Amino acid sequence: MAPVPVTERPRRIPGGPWPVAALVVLLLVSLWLMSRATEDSAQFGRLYSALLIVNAIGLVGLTGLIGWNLTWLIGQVSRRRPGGRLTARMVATFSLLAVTPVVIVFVFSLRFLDRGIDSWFDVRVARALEDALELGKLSLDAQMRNRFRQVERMSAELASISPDGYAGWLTESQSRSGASELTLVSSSGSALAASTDATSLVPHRPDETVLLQLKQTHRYIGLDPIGQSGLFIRVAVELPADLRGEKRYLQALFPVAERMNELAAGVQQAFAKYRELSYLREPLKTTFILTLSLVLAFSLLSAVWAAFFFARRMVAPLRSLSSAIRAVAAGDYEGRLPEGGSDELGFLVESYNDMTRRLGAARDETRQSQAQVEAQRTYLEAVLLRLSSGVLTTDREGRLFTANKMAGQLLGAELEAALGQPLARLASNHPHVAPLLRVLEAHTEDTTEDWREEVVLLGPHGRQVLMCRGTPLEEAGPRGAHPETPLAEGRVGQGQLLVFDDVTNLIEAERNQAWSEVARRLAHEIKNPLTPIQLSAERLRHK
Amino acid sequence: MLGALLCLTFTATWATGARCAPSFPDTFTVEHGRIRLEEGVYYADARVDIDLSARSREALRNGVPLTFDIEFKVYRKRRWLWDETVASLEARYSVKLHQLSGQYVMRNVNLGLSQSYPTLESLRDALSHIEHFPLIDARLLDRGAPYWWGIRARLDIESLPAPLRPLAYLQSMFALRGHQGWRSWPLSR
Repeated sequence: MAPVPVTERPRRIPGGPWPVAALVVLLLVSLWLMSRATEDSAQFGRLYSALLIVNAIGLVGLTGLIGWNLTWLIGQVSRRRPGGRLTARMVATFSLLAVTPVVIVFVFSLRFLDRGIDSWFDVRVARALEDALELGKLSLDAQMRNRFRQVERMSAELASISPDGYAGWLTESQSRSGASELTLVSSSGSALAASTDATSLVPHRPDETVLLQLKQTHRYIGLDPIGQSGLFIRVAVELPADLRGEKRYLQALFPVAERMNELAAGVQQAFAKYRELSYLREPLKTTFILTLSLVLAFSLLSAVWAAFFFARRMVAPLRSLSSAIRAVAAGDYEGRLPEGGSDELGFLVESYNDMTRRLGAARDETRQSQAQVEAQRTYLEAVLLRLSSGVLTTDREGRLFTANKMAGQLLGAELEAALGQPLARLASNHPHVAPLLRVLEAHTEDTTEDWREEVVLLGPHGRQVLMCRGTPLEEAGPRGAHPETPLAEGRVGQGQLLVFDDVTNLIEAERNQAWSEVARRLAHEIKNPLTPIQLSAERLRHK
Repeated sequence: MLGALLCLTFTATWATGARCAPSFPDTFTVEHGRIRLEEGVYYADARVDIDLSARSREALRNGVPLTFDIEFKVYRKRRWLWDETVASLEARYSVKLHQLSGQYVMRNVNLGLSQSYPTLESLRDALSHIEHFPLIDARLLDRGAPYWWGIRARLDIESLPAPLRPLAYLQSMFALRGHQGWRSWPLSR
């Protein structure tokens, strides 16, 4: 017979290799991004959003998977499905084993991260940078004061020049003073006249703030970073009002010495970077913690999902086995489990399949034997039914075990109703069979060999002479079995087998035969003397 | 346990971010816009009121550069389909504090030109006034079609240092108003 799968198979888990592969790839990508990001802060800036997105996608997917698995597991446990509790225990154990060390490492990582970032910043370095910046400012301040005095002198010169000579004076003064740009500015900020060097075609006009300060304090001095050219000293002073009463300003832009510019740029960049980093210290910690937490959460959720996955895979054969055993308990020996692996579970599955095969074969053999016994029993019943002799059996407890139909007829008693009852009750219900039952009981207790005895009953049929032959029965069935039908399967009791015949007629016939022989012989004896008497009488008469 | 860990982490992140990182609910309001046609080219003038939050100012003062995008678009309205964008332009300005001079330097990223301002207010004023911005060649527009032009300004969050981005994204999500900050006018011809 071909193997038939067990009827109740566990529902297949949606999963398999592809989600696992996708999950592993996502995890590896996330870890790779994390590794790249931690190696280089510029990379970190570029990869940050990607890292967040990858982790967010992974987290959402994993959360969904775990939610699905959790719902399934709760359903299994609440419905008391085979393997549900074992799966829950395994998932809890695996998860605990995975989560506990990771959480411990995470807590320590947070502490190291916090201290590591704090160690980047040193109060002495910050103070040194501030001092360097201050030093640069002081150095530039000295230059700015010199330039301011220079521009003040130039403004005094310019005040004495007629407007027609402004352009020439500005050009000459610009080259003489070393300014890169010299501009005469109106009160609205427009350039009235200007002289610039070759690097600048259009003069850098003062903006509203500078003009406002000029109007309030009549002078302005400051450092201006201009494009890629570096630092410039911007000095503006108010000129005496012109003939129309309008205010004018002389603005000069002086380039800072090249070496000074380089040093100032270096100090500026270092200070700005350090200050930015100091400002971003806490957000940076938060960002690293967030990133670490995301990767950790991704790893943990992966571990939890893997716990579900492997727990289900490990419990699946046991679940199948449980269902299959239930099927066996219900009498279905045809169920076969799919072949397992080469591990202990596979061996268990193989043993189960072997067991069910053997059980099925044993059941088939039992059925065949049972059929044979049934046939023999039917045959025996037919023979007993048609026997002219009565047949009774008793068990060792002295209860009537079997009785054929002829036995009831010969004894004139309803023996079928008395099956399983003690012989004493049969005797009380049918007193005329008591002599027979007494003989039977006597031989049940004493006799271990075949016996033969003639019993005389006085029953409804008158006087009956029964020729009884008995034999003890060996142990053949359960002690004290109480059959409900004669010769039921496996219910042959221990006790006595009694076969009896009604020999009343036979004895009567023998008696009649004997009397007739007596009569014949008497007649013969009587007849013998009569013949000579008759002959003598006839002779006498003739005579 | 895992859920509790994540909750703690995100709560700590939010709390730390809210305490230490600048929030960027800067408001960019387009006050008015005007279009004019000169020699076959449409030029836009506009005034964008940029209200920098205290945290943005703090970030600038601490050397964090901020990048502002002023975006323009010309689009044609359609009755049954979505609007067709005919032209899309962007002016990017990077702003940072020059620590040595104490000046705020605004760099026009498109042109590569820098301008320094002694105060943040003067820089803001300069940034707010958009004048003579070339929008589109009039020959590219179909006659009789209903064209509109729009403008919006925003802080470029991706240009922020990475540690400030998550919070800035979260806050900008709540700060967006209307059609993602766009203000539009019909392109009168």
